[in-house]
Amino acid sequence: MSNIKSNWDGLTGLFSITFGLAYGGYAYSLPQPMFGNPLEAIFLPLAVSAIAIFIGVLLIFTGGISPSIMAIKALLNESSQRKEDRRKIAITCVICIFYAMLFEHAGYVISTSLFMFSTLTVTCGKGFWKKSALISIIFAGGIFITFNELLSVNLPPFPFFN
Amino acid sequence: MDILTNLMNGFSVALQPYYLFLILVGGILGTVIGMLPGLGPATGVAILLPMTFSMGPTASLITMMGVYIGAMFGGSRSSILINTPGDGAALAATFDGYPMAMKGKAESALAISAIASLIGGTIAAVLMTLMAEPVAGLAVKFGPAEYFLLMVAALSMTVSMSKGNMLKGFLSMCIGLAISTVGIDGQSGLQRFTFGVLELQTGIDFLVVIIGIYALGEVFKSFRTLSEGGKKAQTKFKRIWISKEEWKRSKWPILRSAPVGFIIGALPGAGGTMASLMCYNNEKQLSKNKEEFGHGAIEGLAAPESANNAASIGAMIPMLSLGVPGSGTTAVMMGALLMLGIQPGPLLFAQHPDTAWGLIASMFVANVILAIVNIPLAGVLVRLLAIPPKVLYPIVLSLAFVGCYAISASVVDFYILIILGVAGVIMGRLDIPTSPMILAAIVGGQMEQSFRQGYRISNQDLSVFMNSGIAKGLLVVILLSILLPIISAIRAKAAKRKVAA
Repeated sequence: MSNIKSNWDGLTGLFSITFGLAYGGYAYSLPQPMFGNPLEAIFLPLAVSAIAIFIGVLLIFTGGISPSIMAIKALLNESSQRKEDRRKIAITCVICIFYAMLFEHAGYVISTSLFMFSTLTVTCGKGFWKKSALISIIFAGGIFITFNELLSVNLPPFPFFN
Repeated sequence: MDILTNLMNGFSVALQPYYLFLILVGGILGTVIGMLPGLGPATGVAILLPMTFSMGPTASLITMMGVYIGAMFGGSRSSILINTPGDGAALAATFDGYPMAMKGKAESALAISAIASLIGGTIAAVLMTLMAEPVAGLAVKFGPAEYFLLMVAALSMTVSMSKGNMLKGFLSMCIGLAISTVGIDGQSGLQRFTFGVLELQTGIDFLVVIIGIYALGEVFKSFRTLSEGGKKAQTKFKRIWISKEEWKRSKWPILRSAPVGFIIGALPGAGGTMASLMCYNNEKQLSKNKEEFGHGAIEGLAAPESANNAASIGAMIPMLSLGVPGSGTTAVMMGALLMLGIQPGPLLFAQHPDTAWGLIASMFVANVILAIVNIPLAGVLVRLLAIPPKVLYPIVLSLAFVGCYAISASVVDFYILIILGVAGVIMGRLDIPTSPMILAAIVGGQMEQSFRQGYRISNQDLSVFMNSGIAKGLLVVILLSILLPIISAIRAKAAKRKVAA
């Protein structure tokens, strides 16, 4: 029986090296500034890149790749409940992206009501739709009034009013 | 004498009815957010930040102080009643607080937690009063080279706190520093890592990083607890107070833990979690009733509660005196000050004494108000724990987005927020600590500018970074903070091998 314990060190190391190479490469390819020491603006990015690559190598060296492969397998074989949790996170992220796309076009109240309703449907289920709709509208309207009227923070208004 | 006069001036600000009202409102909101599992003071202050935009600097900081201390008070409510800490700093309160509640002593547990928080917070506020200005006086002697080294020291100390994960701590720091380099370089005018996106020219606001990691990331992580189902909290109580015997057992642990918590809180990256766990262990070692710990020992709740409140005030020292935030929450507060055109640091006490001393006085006032709110009103406040998290989390998500929009009025930051939220989940999964990344994103820009200024002033001579006594001292701190955890890890491994052999 193998005594190897699963961990993510190897995979993290690979990520660190890739990140270091990509970041450092991009920094090196930046145009030179018009004045001053041409390397000054990329001192920090190159140092960060070197540290990330070094850390990546150390992580792979100390952690190894096999434990990471085991960790990936364990992740794929997780219980259906855990998979469902991840699915919910993914759906919420997609909803967040749609929210970002809609925010300035549909205005705060409409976009936030839709966003809240969708996320509440993800967390509470479809059977909760009446309460979800009510919470969404009250919350979005309440926040809009609080921010616009009381806190002087201008949120995007309704699209059909100027 | 000067300190006393300044403090009295601070009280004349903090005790004005308007500021008392702000502390009360901020404190209640902070308590509510602090109670919610997974959401700590940093999230609370970050999502309530827009509330302070229309206020002046003093009012804004005092409100945030109320939220901060409120969240520290609130964090332990859910630890005691449902065995789920509001944040890391309240973790130690589950060890004996929850067993106390299970034994029918929820009233004593809630009361001692508030009393310990009040005493710990007040002792820490006294220490803050005595230390803030002298530390700021020392910081005036700092040049660009010393500032650069100070920030490197803060980063290396934060990384070294990533127990068992130091390498990943360094990776986290690299990501944070990379975030700080996005935008137009202030000294050369060069656009770095903007990928042609106009909105990225001004860089990524570190408040967006904090909201992304703490609010979105934590909510996403909490989706796991949704499927596990919430725990029912006790919401009906008898008189919330403690007996004489309980006070006798708690008073010394409270008094001992406050200074320790304050000192640990002042170290960048250490924070309330480490302070409360360390003080819990200390009390366990000192106690005559060691076997009671973990089964409802009142000292086991009093000590960490005193320590974590003291740590929250200790964390204000580096932010106010040096201009370097020591924790996520103080980072948000520093961001708010910068937005209001006030530079925290050594000159804050000279240029804005009302703000600086008003804030320090508000620490005393907030602790008293929060204790008053949390003892008699605990029964009312904890009813919020009955609201299902599946309703609360979408609300927190919405508040995070509106907070982000209030900071920059740009939806590009929404995408960054989402990316960082997902990054927070992945980093949690891969055991990569997030604090080094957040601190690096905050101090990265200033650190780079200080390095380049020092380098230019010295005609490109790197010895400027080791010439002065302060620089040498800071270099020793940097080396020790990196080497000590490595040495202790090697020794622990060797000891393990010896035992196995």
